[in-house]
Amino acid sequence: MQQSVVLKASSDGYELIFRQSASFDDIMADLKTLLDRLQLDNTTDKEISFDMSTEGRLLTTEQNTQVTQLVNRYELFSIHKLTADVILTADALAMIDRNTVHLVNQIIRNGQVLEVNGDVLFFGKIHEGGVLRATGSIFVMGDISGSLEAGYPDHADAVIVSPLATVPRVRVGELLELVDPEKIVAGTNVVYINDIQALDYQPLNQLKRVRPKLFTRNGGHV
Amino acid sequence: MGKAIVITSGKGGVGKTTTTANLGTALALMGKKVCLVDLDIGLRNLDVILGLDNRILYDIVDVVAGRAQLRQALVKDKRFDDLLFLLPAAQNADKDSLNPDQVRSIVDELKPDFDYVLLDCPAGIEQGFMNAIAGADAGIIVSTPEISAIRDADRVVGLLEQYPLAEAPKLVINRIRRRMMQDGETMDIDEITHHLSIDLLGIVFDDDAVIRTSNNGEPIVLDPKNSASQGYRNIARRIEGETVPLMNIEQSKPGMWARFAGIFHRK
Repeated sequence: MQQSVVLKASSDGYELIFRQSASFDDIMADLKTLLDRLQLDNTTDKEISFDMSTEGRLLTTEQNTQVTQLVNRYELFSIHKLTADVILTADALAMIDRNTVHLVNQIIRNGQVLEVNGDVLFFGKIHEGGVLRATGSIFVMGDISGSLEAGYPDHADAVIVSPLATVPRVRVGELLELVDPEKIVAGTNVVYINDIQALDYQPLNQLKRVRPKLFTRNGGHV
Repeated sequence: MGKAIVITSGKGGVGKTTTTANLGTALALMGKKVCLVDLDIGLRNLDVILGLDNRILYDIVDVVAGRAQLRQALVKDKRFDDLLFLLPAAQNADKDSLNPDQVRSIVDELKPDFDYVLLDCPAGIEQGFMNAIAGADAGIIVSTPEISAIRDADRVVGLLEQYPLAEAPKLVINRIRRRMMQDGETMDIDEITHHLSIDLLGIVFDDDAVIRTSNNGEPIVLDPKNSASQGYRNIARRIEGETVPLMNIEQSKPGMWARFAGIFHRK
């Protein structure tokens, strides 16, 4: 019969694979046997940290705890990481949402707050009193008379790329301020949190210097 | 089956009630059967503008509370045979006396018997506003060319996007002072319409006669020569589906003889 837990050794250490076709109870039994044997064979005092893979199976929180508790019973063993080849559909969708640049073309009116998960490329209009709030960065090609809030609530890496002449208020991460006409540059501004944790304004051509990671993420080229 | 139209604005004092009274009257003049519903509970005055304040027996809260039948509460405007009716608001009740479901059921009961049910919305965006939009199929947003009114109108358009009616709301720009608009002292029609990004239903010029006639309980629309009256009549025709050009904003300068006449008149 095929083992439900397979031990593999590599240059990085030991890997334990929980076979997808086996039942969790079998895996727990086999894992215990395997660990017992390993402990007996282990003649040194060297600690072993396992990489565990559950293949195409997601462990429940309870099952996760059971595995952790079992491993913790052995003084020299620990879990380095416990991973699966799959994730929940909801988590996958949230990840896509977070990593997609959302194209938005609508009017945000007085009193309305449009909340977007991820980055936004905004083509619409924000009227006075409207708020565009994104967890990621905001890139503007429309008319803005309302407020822009990027990196909401506390993602300090986010930026706002927009002309600011008609924008009354900006927020990046946790920092919120009224736009000071003296500070902004002509044309498109890049608003970001600088090294001294203050909101700073730079011309568009400084975007790559300010946030180089923007261009390596989202499939861009450095 | 009639159509229920809510007349709203967000801001107070822009002429919602005057617009409701005049549009209702204009539609009745066109032979349409109209019921006006005053939803400004506690501060009713649609009845006053129509000159019907002395003829109220029951009000909308009486109907909801079961103290009167809907038919009993309707006040008929005798000037228009059987074409114009008013369902008055309560004077001595608070705004929580009505809820959206109750308004919806009253409007649904009225619609089969009327061509139009016009709902006069109170100022603000609280309970009274929610009640007014509950039963409506379409909305008219009234604004004046003042920035505060436009800002509130924008808020209301946003709320109507959140609670959409069967038809997209349309804009009426009221109390336009032609000289100020011509001189660029207020936003012009195109700017306001473009800013709010909704369709324009019509414009109404500011005119002292509107206040004067309202004080006498006679809607201005009864005077066919008055420019505000023409504005309301045009809006009524557009509601009926006619294509009517927008009135000219430019005020012609008085000619030489008129100016001479003016000089002698002042003496």
